[in-house]
Amino acid sequence: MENNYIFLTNEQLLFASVLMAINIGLSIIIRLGMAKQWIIASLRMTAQLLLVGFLLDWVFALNNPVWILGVALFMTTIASITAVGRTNKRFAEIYLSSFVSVLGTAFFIMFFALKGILQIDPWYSPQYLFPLLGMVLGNTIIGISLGLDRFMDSLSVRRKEVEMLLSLGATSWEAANELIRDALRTSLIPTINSMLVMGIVSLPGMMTGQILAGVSPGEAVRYQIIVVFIIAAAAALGSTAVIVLAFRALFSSRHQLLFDRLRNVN
Amino acid sequence: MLRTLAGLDVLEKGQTGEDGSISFSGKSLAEWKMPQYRTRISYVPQHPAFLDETVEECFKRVFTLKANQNKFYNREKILLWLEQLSLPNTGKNNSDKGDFTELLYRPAREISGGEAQVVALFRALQLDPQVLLLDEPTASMDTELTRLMEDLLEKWHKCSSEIFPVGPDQQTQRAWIWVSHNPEQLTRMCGQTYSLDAVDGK
Repeated sequence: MENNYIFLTNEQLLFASVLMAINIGLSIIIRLGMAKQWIIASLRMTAQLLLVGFLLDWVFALNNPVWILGVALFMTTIASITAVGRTNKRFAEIYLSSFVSVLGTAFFIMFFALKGILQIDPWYSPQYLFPLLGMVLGNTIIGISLGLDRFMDSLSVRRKEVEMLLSLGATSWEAANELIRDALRTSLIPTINSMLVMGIVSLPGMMTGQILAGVSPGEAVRYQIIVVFIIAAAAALGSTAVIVLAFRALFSSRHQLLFDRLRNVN
Repeated sequence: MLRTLAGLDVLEKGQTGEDGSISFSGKSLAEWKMPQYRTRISYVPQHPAFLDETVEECFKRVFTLKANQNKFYNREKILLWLEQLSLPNTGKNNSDKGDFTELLYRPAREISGGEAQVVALFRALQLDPQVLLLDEPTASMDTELTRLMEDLLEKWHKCSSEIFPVGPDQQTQRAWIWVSHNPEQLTRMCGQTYSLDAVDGK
């Protein structure tokens, strides 16, 4: 399986970075003003990945569940903060809502995938847990940030409609129902789009990686199919959870829209 | 204030910390289930909101809500009320029923400001509320329409039997709180007037 795997040397990495000359040169020639950003981004990306590689090597070697789950929890926390970072409006419990949604989703989906589908023993085996968790988190936060942003945005744009329904006797759920469904639909568009063109327009990164590592394409796609199902379910679960939590934070049990709780960022 | 009475805004403590309280039919606001309460006490804002649907769908939508599930849409009633008004778009001949049905099929978001206020009022009246909370209810209507609407609301208030028949569970005691910048209208329409010309009417 690993007979034709090429281990990369530092020189090869350095040689690859020469490609950034295209980006930087382009930026200078047509005055995009991005040259500095490309340098910073390249250095950051390289440093972050080397660090992650180092960290994961270390956690793999330890093979201690406490450390593994500790790092997983750290990744989850960062993911939940990032998901909120892209929204234009906030409410007091938004970070908590995001964290609860990401953590709950990740835990449920990962357990189902590792223990149920892949039947890894022990289920927290880092070789499987981290790559899958990374993909699950990445997809979940796309859904969460889109859904949250859309829900809060339509609450402020369509406030009068919501309060009109409330005044006519709607429960808060009845009044927000359409907005909730709309937000959920928005949050899942990228997931379903990417699923539809999977393998035709895009060759997913994980599958490509496995092929590079010497796995036969026919075998690699089988893993990819599982992964797509996992991340789609994670996006659906995470988005639903966060939108419902946002709904609960922004409506009172007295069926009032607590509009003052919504704050614009900056 | 109307929003607070309709239970849309949280009742805040006054600046000096005194508590306010709202009660209706012998029950405090906290004891009421809000959806039920809001069908008895109906708030009609000055600039009514509509979903992206026709006027008739707006009327019907009200009855899809759980709190109104024992009530049913009655097109005849709406047409009867519309007949009492000579809407600007329906031309001079307001005995022509066709013109009123035409309003029902128009997109609610495209009707004029005055028509929107009529639709919003009728949308609330369909539920047989006991109290209407009216915020400048005729502000977008012309003088003639305002008069006709005042007459119609007067009939509602008096439970005029042919236009506002008293149903089985319908209350015969009706009232409104009418907010207006027009003192003459308030004298016409209200038994008691309170003026909030202090700093900001809080």
